[in-house]
Amino acid sequence: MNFTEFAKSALVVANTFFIIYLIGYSTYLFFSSVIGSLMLFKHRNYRKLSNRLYDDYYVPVSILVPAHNEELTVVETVKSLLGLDYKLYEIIVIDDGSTDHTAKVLIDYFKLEKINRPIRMQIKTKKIKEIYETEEHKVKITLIRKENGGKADALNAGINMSDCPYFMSIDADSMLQADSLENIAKPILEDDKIVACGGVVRISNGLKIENGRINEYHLPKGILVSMQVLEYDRSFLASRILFDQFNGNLIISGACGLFRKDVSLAAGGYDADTVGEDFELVIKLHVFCKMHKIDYRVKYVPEAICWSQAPTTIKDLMKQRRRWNKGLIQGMYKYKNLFLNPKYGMISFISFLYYLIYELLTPFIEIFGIITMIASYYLDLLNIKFMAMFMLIYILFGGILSLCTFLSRLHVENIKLSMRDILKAMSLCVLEITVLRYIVLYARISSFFGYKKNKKVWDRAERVSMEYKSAKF
Amino acid sequence: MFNTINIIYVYIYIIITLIVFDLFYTTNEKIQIKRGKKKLEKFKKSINEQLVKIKQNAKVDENHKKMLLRKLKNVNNLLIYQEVIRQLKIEQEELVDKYLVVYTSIFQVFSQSYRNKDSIYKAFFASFLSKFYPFHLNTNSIIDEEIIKYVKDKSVYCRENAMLYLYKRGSAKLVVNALKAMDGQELYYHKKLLSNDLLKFQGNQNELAKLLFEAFDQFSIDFQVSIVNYLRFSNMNFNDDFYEMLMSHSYDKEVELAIIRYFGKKIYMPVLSYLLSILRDDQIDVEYKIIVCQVIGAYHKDQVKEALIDCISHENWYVRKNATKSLSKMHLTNEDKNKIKNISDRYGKQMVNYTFKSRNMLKNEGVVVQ
Repeated sequence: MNFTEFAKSALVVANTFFIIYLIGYSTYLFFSSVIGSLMLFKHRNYRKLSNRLYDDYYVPVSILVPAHNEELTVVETVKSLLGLDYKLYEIIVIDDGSTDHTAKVLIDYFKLEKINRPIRMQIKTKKIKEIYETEEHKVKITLIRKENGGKADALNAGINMSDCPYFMSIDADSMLQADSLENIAKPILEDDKIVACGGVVRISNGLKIENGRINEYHLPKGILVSMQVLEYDRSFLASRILFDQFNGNLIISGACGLFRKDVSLAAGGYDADTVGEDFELVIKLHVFCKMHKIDYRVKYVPEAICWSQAPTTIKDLMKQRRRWNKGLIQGMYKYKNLFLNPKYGMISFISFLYYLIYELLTPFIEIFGIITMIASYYLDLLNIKFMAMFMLIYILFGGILSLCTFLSRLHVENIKLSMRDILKAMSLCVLEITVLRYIVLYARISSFFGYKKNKKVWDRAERVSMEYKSAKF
Repeated sequence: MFNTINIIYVYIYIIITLIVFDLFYTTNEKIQIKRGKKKLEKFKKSINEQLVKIKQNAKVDENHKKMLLRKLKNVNNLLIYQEVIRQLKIEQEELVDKYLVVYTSIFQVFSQSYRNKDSIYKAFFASFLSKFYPFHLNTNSIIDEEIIKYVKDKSVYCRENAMLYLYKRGSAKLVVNALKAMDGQELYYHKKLLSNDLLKFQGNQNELAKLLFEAFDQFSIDFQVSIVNYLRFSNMNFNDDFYEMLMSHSYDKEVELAIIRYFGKKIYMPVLSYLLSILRDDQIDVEYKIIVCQVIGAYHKDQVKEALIDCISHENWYVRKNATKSLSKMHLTNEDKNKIKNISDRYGKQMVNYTFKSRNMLKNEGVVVQ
């Protein structure tokens, strides 16, 4: 066999692999969209027919707000938290070595008093400098000022300070919908095996919110942000619902996640050496519970909604996605023993494998695919007509899927879509799969370089001050 | 290769079907809302006609009953009917109550037919009954018997809504029977939900407390804990019985801890020596100490203060925390304050400083330690 023949054989194999890869991904997207849509429809009927549990007091929750240089947004965030439809909670803001006036604006606005509160150091963190507290508001507010140690370290300090059996992590630039804490805590009354609940993160650009309730919703004006809306919907209203069917969710977004404190502490809390602390904690909980034969459940709650600002520039988007991918790399590397390990069942064979092939290795596989196509073309192995048709159909399929998950939000509470939004989504769905996907792909590839560096840096987009009363993002 | 494309074609076809379904569903829902408004007006008109007759003490229309029997089989119609009743109750509550009494037989029929439907519909029917059934009627054995079957359903919503009906129904015997039936299914029902819901019981609370206590040993551990938590807020006194149970050491740890919490609310002096012995016992499970430290402050005795002061230096965080908190709520003499001041344990000192400061018992009262 000469080199040309060998190359040809290799390319045939590669082409077949590439086709199988795309079919696998299409099948995954297909099932997640179908199941996501059906489950949201089911949830809607449950709500309509009073299939809900009501209690005046659910479970006590500590809301942890890690903040680093958030002087513009932190007061509004805490104000919004004070407006939640919930009775049993406390707010703990952790100022992780800010160099701006994050602590001062909070102390002045909420009239916090310095106290010498003992801390139960269950997880080691960077040094706590000062603690402030007030009980003059609806719920207790605590501010921890500590040395800079990164978001995970800040969250661990918050857990140490927490007085409640459950804690919820949110981002300082995010806003919980007024009913979200109630909705995320409700499943605990239904099933005591729950160790963590994840909510939905939605993009707040284009939203009018008053007292934690949506006043008006439209797709944002900017194309980049609108494309991210479609992308978020595919993830939150499809993929996570699919994984939830077999207790296989590996991600609970750091912007909206509720955790059982005792189990999280027993598992070791957040890993301060990773930038994807939310991803790492959820895998850690899976591993911990499986190893200790604990009957557990990680639950996804599509009714618990957190609104978050999306990056509005490509530069900020790249920064955000690089950070996410770094977290993914670190988390998957740390738990590499989950790969095809029967001990972990579906988590290993479906969830972990999916994240490995279709999230972590995607950039390389897709570049490999493009190179293969070019080589096949030069070696006259490519059926151009077939390939063009295949790619067109694939893009069409991806676009239709995005549209399908976007429309699934019709089944989610408090969302009404105008025809203008539907038409906009239809026109953007193909663009999202052809343009945004490759921007994200580039960010993912670049995150592989030096992913171990800058572990404790707070990557952040430019913040915009939010006005809670009738806030328009 | 064409098979590959065919797969994607099939996917596209199904996804498009879903999109069409979503759009159709939304459009249909808008139409249904419009139709629902028409239906609602129709129901309202028909019910109003009956209300006028009831007001005039005239005979109600038999056709109205037939119409209800026909229409309310459909859950969407029941949803609209519920809304009409809700609206009319705001305007003319007394009359609507009389109307519901006249048509109670309808609910009997539907309690049987909805029993065979899916849990989601069953739960809704139970919810409807819990909101609008004329509870002042003394008995309705058919509905009651049916609802007891609902509480065995696998859906927690169905069980909860059925229980809400029974709490409003006000029969202690029925509630106890329903709880036994539910417990027998070994289906999960949150302890907190049960103890909070029991407080919603609208009948004779003392009778319920008595019956629950009598049947106590027939329940599972989780239910026993909920019952003790409920009895903590009852007017009835079970002090002697619970003391006996605690001293028998034959109940599960969770039940014993619930009983100790009970004695934090209901002061019963004979139990004090046992509680103190827990604080002095170094071998005992620390969870007992944590709970005792939390509740024993209600017993204003010198030996309690002494034991709590000792616990400030305990190695367990929650023992220290609860002991300090309990002490801060007690009347302390100068001698007590001096003892607290002189504790040598660093962690205990921190806890004292924080707790007493937060309760405004500052240096001038001689509590803060250096």
